[in-house]
Amino acid sequence: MLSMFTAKAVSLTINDTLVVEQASVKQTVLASALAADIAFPHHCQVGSCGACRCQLVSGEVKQLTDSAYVLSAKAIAQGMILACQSVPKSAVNIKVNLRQRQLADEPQE
Amino acid sequence: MFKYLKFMSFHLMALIAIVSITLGESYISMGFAIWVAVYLGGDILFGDDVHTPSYRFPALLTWQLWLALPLTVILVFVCCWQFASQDIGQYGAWISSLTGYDALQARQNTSVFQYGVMVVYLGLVVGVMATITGHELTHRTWDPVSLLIGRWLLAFSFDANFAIEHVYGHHKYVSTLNDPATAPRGRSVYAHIIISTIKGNISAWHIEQQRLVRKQLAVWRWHNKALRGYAMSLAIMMWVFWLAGWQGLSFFVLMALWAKATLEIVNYMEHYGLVRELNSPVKPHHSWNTNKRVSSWAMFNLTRHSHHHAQGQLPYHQLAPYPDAPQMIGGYLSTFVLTLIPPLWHRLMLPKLQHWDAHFATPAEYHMAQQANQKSKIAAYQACK
Repeated sequence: MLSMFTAKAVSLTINDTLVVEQASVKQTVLASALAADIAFPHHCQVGSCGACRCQLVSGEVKQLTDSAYVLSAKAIAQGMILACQSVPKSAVNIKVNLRQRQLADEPQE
Repeated sequence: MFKYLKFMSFHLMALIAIVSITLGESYISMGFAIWVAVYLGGDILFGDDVHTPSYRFPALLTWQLWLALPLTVILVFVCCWQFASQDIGQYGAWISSLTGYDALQARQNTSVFQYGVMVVYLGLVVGVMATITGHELTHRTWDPVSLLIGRWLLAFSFDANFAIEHVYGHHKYVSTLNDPATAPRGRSVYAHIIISTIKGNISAWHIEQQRLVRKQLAVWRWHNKALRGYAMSLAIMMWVFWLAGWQGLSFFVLMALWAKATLEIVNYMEHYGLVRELNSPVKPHHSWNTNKRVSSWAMFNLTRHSHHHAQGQLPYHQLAPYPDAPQMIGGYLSTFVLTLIPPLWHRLMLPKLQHWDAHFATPAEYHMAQQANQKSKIAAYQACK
């Protein structure tokens, strides 16, 4: 009964390794991962650069911004999300290339 | 208590503006003089504020920001009343019966000169109260109420689409040539106002169009946020026209363009001459920072710009002062005035840029900075080695 009043916690699995047993459902996937000392690729943290893009293998997230600003239609169809803009709604399993950089962009000039 | 109140100066300034415009005549100039004295004078005299207090009730700070919308609406209404031929909503009669001051007679006596002051004055008040608040609120993309209020506030300077370009364009491209809002070395503020306004609007349109295409939605439909953004400004213009006819509308358009120009002047100051490699992380040294007390309070820490760009998701009260980041010449309000005299501005920024190149730039940025100097068309910059 009391569980109604306390924020639920869910598990966070990254690249098939359980990294956070009790991740807050009020924090983004990125924030929970960083708090657990995972070198999760990230950068702008406002959902504009795509550095933290990752694939949602299982589970459900609430996206705080429209990821279509950054990710291609194909990527979205493949279940790609932005970790900095995703709050877990259930236990989530995420696949990410820990060495990736920002989305390649058109060269300057 | 004061840590909450210190961010309420724009509310006070709005009330002073509402009163002075209601009183009409030379009271309008007096209101403007108070604004300049408090903000510009305070900025020069009262030093830095580098505190970052913790807040038990951050929701109060959000409500303070939301209050900007009703205040802006009232302010624009009072201006419309000042221009209208009738006593709209019996406002003048109401003021007279309440205070005994003959507001309608005063309105008759208000000169064209005071109207001119009103445009300049209101553009600045709206620039601080609506535009900067709109910036803070539209960053909160996770909160639909803040986002909506923020976009309406920006619509008072024809700029609801700033909410798109700024978050998904500027924060990604800041200090690179891809960013419309970053002024390259040698550009004057007047050129920047025009170039950044045009390119910013085009960029917002492209970003929104791309989003719609990816979601397989039609571009010319109501779910196009860029179209809705223009419609919001159009709605405000229709309201102003309905209240005060062509005279009121002319005032509003001039005021809104000036408010938009003030935003671009602020963009100009914040990143002038800085360079960054595309796709490299945004660091504190990619913005000009300042911790001047009065600017920080008036603009709720927009001044702590280095941290804002390094961590764009943070609400303003969590921004740190970063005293080691590159520092602007003065506070926002005093630096604002300096940009208006381009030869002086370029001269004052030269040592700042040289220091930046020597102490902050990465090797790649140093090289880019040298190229930027060559392209600046300013002999003193080109002579830099």
